[in-house]
Amino acid sequence: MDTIIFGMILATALIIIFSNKRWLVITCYAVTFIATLFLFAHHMTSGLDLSF
Amino acid sequence: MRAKLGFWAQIAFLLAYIGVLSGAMFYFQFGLNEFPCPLCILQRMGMMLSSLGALYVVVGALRGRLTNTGFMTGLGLAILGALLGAAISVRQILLHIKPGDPGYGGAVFGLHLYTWAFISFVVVLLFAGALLTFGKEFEPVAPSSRFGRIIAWIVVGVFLFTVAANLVVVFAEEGFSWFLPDDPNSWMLFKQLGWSK
Repeated sequence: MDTIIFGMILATALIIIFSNKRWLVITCYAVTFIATLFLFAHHMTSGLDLSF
Repeated sequence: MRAKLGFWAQIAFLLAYIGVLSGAMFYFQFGLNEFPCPLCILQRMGMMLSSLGALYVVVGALRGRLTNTGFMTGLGLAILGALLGAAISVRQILLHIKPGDPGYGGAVFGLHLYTWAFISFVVVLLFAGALLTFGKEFEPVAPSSRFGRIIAWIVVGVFLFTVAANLVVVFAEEGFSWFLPDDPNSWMLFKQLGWSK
Protein backbone atom coordinates (compact mmCIF):
# COMPACT_ATOMS: atom_id res chain seq x y z
CA MET A 1 0.00 0.00 0.00
CA ASP A 2 2.79 2.41 0.92
CA THR A 3 4.56 1.67 -2.38
CA ILE A 4 1.33 2.25 -4.29
CA ILE A 5 0.76 5.61 -2.57
CA PHE A 6 4.29 6.75 -3.39
CA GLY A 7 3.55 5.73 -6.98
CA MET A 8 0.36 7.81 -6.86
CA ILE A 9 2.28 10.82 -5.51
CA LEU A 10 4.82 10.44 -8.33
CA ALA A 11 2.03 10.14 -10.89
CA THR A 12 0.33 13.29 -9.52
CA ALA A 13 3.65 15.17 -9.73
CA LEU A 14 4.09 14.09 -13.36
CA ILE A 15 0.51 15.16 -14.16
CA ILE A 16 1.21 18.57 -12.59
CA ILE A 17 4.26 18.91 -14.85
CA PHE A 18 2.91 17.53 -18.11
CA SER A 19 -0.81 18.37 -18.03
CA ASN A 20 -2.50 21.74 -17.78
CA LYS A 21 -5.87 20.34 -16.70
CA ARG A 22 -6.58 21.65 -13.21
CA TRP A 23 -9.44 19.21 -12.54
CA LEU A 24 -7.16 16.27 -13.37
CA VAL A 25 -4.52 17.46 -10.89
CA ILE A 26 -7.13 18.00 -8.16
CA THR A 27 -8.72 14.58 -8.80
CA CYS A 28 -5.37 12.74 -8.65
CA TYR A 29 -4.38 14.68 -5.54
CA ALA A 30 -7.71 13.91 -3.86
CA VAL A 31 -7.43 10.17 -4.58
CA THR A 32 -3.86 10.10 -3.23
CA PHE A 33 -4.87 12.14 -0.18
CA ILE A 34 -7.77 9.79 0.64
CA ALA A 35 -5.56 6.71 0.14
CA THR A 36 -3.02 8.18 2.60
CA LEU A 37 -5.84 8.93 5.03
CA PHE A 38 -7.03 5.30 4.86
CA LEU A 39 -3.50 4.02 5.41
CA PHE A 40 -3.20 6.31 8.45
CA ALA A 41 -6.53 4.97 9.77
CA HIS A 42 -5.27 1.40 9.24
CA HIS A 43 -2.18 2.09 11.36
CA MET A 44 -4.20 3.59 14.23
CA THR A 45 -4.57 0.20 15.88
CA SER A 46 -5.50 1.38 19.37
CA GLY A 47 -6.70 4.38 21.31
CA LEU A 48 -4.21 6.48 23.25
CA ASP A 49 -3.90 5.74 26.95
CA LEU A 50 -4.09 9.43 27.78
CA SER A 51 -6.69 11.71 29.26
CA PHE A 52 -7.40 14.81 27.23
CA MET B 1 10.60 42.08 -7.38
CA ARG B 2 8.11 40.90 -4.76
CA ALA B 3 6.45 38.63 -7.34
CA LYS B 4 9.82 36.99 -8.06
CA LEU B 5 10.36 36.63 -4.32
CA GLY B 6 7.02 34.78 -4.25
CA PHE B 7 8.35 32.38 -6.90
CA TRP B 8 11.64 31.73 -5.10
CA ALA B 9 9.74 31.24 -1.83
CA GLN B 10 7.97 28.28 -3.48
CA ILE B 11 11.31 26.95 -4.72
CA ALA B 12 12.68 27.28 -1.15
CA PHE B 13 9.63 25.33 0.09
CA LEU B 14 10.40 22.50 -2.35
CA LEU B 15 14.12 22.55 -1.50
CA ALA B 16 13.42 22.45 2.25
CA TYR B 17 11.32 19.29 1.96
CA ILE B 18 13.76 17.72 -0.53
CA GLY B 19 16.46 18.27 2.12
CA VAL B 20 14.33 16.86 4.95
CA LEU B 21 13.24 13.79 2.95
CA SER B 22 16.74 13.09 1.65
CA GLY B 23 18.28 13.59 5.10
CA ALA B 24 15.76 11.19 6.66
CA MET B 25 16.39 8.59 3.97
CA PHE B 26 20.14 8.81 3.38
CA TYR B 27 21.36 9.73 6.89
CA PHE B 28 18.94 8.05 9.29
CA GLN B 29 17.81 5.12 7.16
CA PHE B 30 21.04 4.22 5.34
CA GLY B 31 23.67 5.94 7.53
CA LEU B 32 22.34 4.94 10.96
CA ASN B 33 20.47 1.86 9.68
CA GLU B 34 17.18 2.95 11.26
CA PHE B 35 14.16 1.47 9.54
CA PRO B 36 11.33 4.01 9.31
CA CYS B 37 8.10 2.97 11.02
CA PRO B 38 4.72 3.12 9.20
CA LEU B 39 3.89 6.51 10.77
CA CYS B 40 7.30 7.87 9.68
CA ILE B 41 6.56 6.81 6.11
CA LEU B 42 3.10 8.41 6.36
CA GLN B 43 4.74 11.69 7.46
CA ARG B 44 6.96 11.53 4.38
CA MET B 45 3.79 11.19 2.32
CA GLY B 46 2.35 14.25 4.07
CA MET B 47 5.49 16.23 3.22
CA MET B 48 5.27 15.17 -0.42
CA LEU B 49 1.54 15.90 -0.67
CA SER B 50 2.24 19.34 0.77
CA SER B 51 5.13 19.88 -1.64
CA LEU B 52 2.86 19.04 -4.59
CA GLY B 53 1.16 22.39 -3.92
CA ALA B 54 4.45 24.26 -4.31
CA LEU B 55 5.24 22.14 -7.39
CA TYR B 56 1.89 23.14 -8.92
CA VAL B 57 2.65 26.84 -8.43
CA VAL B 58 6.27 26.60 -9.65
CA VAL B 59 5.43 24.63 -12.80
CA GLY B 60 2.45 26.85 -13.56
CA ALA B 61 4.64 29.97 -13.26
CA LEU B 62 7.43 28.43 -15.37
CA ARG B 63 4.97 27.49 -18.11
CA GLY B 64 3.39 30.96 -17.98
CA ARG B 65 -0.10 29.65 -17.19
CA LEU B 66 -0.38 30.43 -13.47
CA THR B 67 -3.56 32.34 -12.66
CA ASN B 68 -4.81 33.60 -9.30
CA THR B 69 -6.98 30.48 -9.15
CA GLY B 70 -3.94 28.28 -9.80
CA PHE B 71 -1.96 30.08 -7.11
CA MET B 72 -4.78 29.48 -4.60
CA THR B 73 -5.08 25.83 -5.71
CA GLY B 74 -1.37 25.31 -5.07
CA LEU B 75 -1.50 26.84 -1.62
CA GLY B 76 -4.66 24.86 -0.85
CA LEU B 77 -2.94 21.58 -1.76
CA ALA B 78 0.02 22.57 0.43
CA ILE B 79 -2.27 23.30 3.39
CA LEU B 80 -4.20 20.02 3.02
CA GLY B 81 -0.99 17.98 2.85
CA ALA B 82 0.43 19.83 5.87
CA LEU B 83 -2.75 19.25 7.91
CA LEU B 84 -2.68 15.53 7.16
CA GLY B 85 1.03 15.33 7.96
CA ALA B 86 0.54 17.28 11.19
CA ALA B 87 -2.25 14.91 12.30
CA ILE B 88 0.03 11.91 11.69
CA SER B 89 2.99 13.43 13.54
CA VAL B 90 0.77 14.46 16.48
CA ARG B 91 -0.42 10.86 16.70
CA GLN B 92 3.20 9.66 16.91
CA ILE B 93 4.17 12.36 19.42
CA LEU B 94 1.25 11.34 21.67
CA LEU B 95 2.22 7.65 21.40
CA HIS B 96 5.58 8.49 23.00
CA ILE B 97 4.70 11.46 25.19
CA LYS B 98 4.56 9.66 28.56
CA PRO B 99 7.50 10.28 30.95
CA GLY B 100 10.12 7.55 30.64
CA ASP B 101 9.25 6.65 27.05
CA PRO B 102 12.48 6.80 25.00
CA GLY B 103 10.60 7.64 21.80
CA TYR B 104 11.10 6.07 18.38
CA GLY B 105 14.42 6.37 16.55
CA GLY B 106 17.14 8.95 16.86
CA ALA B 107 16.84 12.57 17.93
CA VAL B 108 18.17 15.79 16.38
CA PHE B 109 18.90 18.67 18.80
CA GLY B 110 16.92 16.79 21.45
CA LEU B 111 13.77 16.33 19.39
CA HIS B 112 12.69 13.17 17.61
CA LEU B 113 12.13 13.25 13.85
CA TYR B 114 8.33 13.11 14.18
CA THR B 115 8.42 16.22 16.41
CA TRP B 116 10.54 18.02 13.80
CA ALA B 117 8.07 16.82 11.17
CA PHE B 118 5.23 18.43 13.14
CA ILE B 119 7.20 21.69 13.37
CA SER B 120 7.79 21.61 9.61
CA PHE B 121 4.05 21.17 8.95
CA VAL B 122 3.26 24.15 11.20
CA VAL B 123 5.85 26.21 9.27
CA VAL B 124 4.13 25.24 6.01
CA LEU B 125 0.77 26.36 7.42
CA LEU B 126 2.28 29.70 8.50
CA PHE B 127 3.96 30.07 5.09
CA ALA B 128 0.72 29.38 3.21
CA GLY B 129 -1.23 31.71 5.51
CA ALA B 130 1.25 34.54 4.95
CA LEU B 131 1.24 34.05 1.17
CA LEU B 132 -2.55 33.99 1.05
CA THR B 133 -2.71 37.15 3.15
CA PHE B 134 -0.29 38.92 0.79
CA GLY B 135 -1.43 37.01 -2.29
CA LYS B 136 -1.45 40.05 -4.55
CA GLU B 137 2.07 41.10 -3.63
CA PHE B 138 3.60 37.62 -3.66
CA GLU B 139 1.88 36.03 -6.65
CA PRO B 140 4.78 34.10 -8.17
CA VAL B 141 6.29 35.20 -11.47
CA ALA B 142 8.92 32.92 -13.01
CA PRO B 143 12.36 34.44 -13.59
CA SER B 144 12.98 35.75 -17.09
CA SER B 145 16.66 34.78 -17.07
CA ARG B 146 17.63 31.45 -18.64
CA PHE B 147 19.84 30.63 -15.64
CA GLY B 148 17.02 31.19 -13.13
CA ARG B 149 14.63 29.02 -15.12
CA ILE B 150 17.18 26.20 -15.43
CA ILE B 151 17.75 26.27 -11.66
CA ALA B 152 13.98 26.07 -11.08
CA TRP B 153 13.58 23.09 -13.45
CA ILE B 154 16.51 21.34 -11.76
CA VAL B 155 14.75 21.71 -8.39
CA VAL B 156 11.59 20.23 -9.96
CA GLY B 157 13.66 17.30 -11.29
CA VAL B 158 15.33 16.71 -7.92
CA PHE B 159 11.91 16.65 -6.26
CA LEU B 160 10.73 13.98 -8.72
CA PHE B 161 13.89 12.00 -8.05
CA THR B 162 13.31 12.25 -4.27
CA VAL B 163 9.77 10.85 -4.62
CA ALA B 164 10.99 8.07 -6.93
CA ALA B 165 13.85 7.18 -4.55
CA ASN B 166 11.42 6.95 -1.62
CA LEU B 167 9.17 4.71 -3.72
CA VAL B 168 12.04 2.30 -4.42
CA VAL B 169 13.24 2.27 -0.80
CA VAL B 170 9.75 1.69 0.60
CA PHE B 171 9.17 -1.11 -1.91
CA ALA B 172 12.38 -2.75 -0.67
CA GLU B 173 11.24 -2.33 2.94
CA GLU B 174 7.66 -3.48 2.40
CA GLY B 175 8.18 -6.03 -0.35
CA PHE B 176 5.01 -7.57 -1.73
CA SER B 177 3.14 -7.22 1.60
CA TRP B 178 0.19 -4.83 1.74
CA PHE B 179 1.37 -3.03 4.88
CA LEU B 180 4.58 -2.33 6.77
CA PRO B 181 4.98 -4.09 10.15
CA ASP B 182 4.63 -1.83 13.23
CA ASP B 183 8.33 -2.12 14.02
CA PRO B 184 10.19 -2.91 10.77
CA ASN B 185 13.73 -4.27 11.14
CA SER B 186 14.61 -5.82 7.77
CA TRP B 187 14.27 -5.44 3.99
CA MET B 188 11.14 -7.49 3.39
CA LEU B 189 11.55 -7.58 -0.41
CA PHE B 190 14.97 -9.24 -0.21
CA LYS B 191 13.59 -11.78 2.30
CA GLN B 192 10.63 -12.58 0.08
CA LEU B 193 12.91 -13.02 -2.94
CA GLY B 194 15.18 -15.30 -0.88
CA TRP B 195 18.19 -12.96 -1.19
CA SER B 196 18.58 -12.61 2.60
CA LYS B 197 17.44 -14.41 5.76
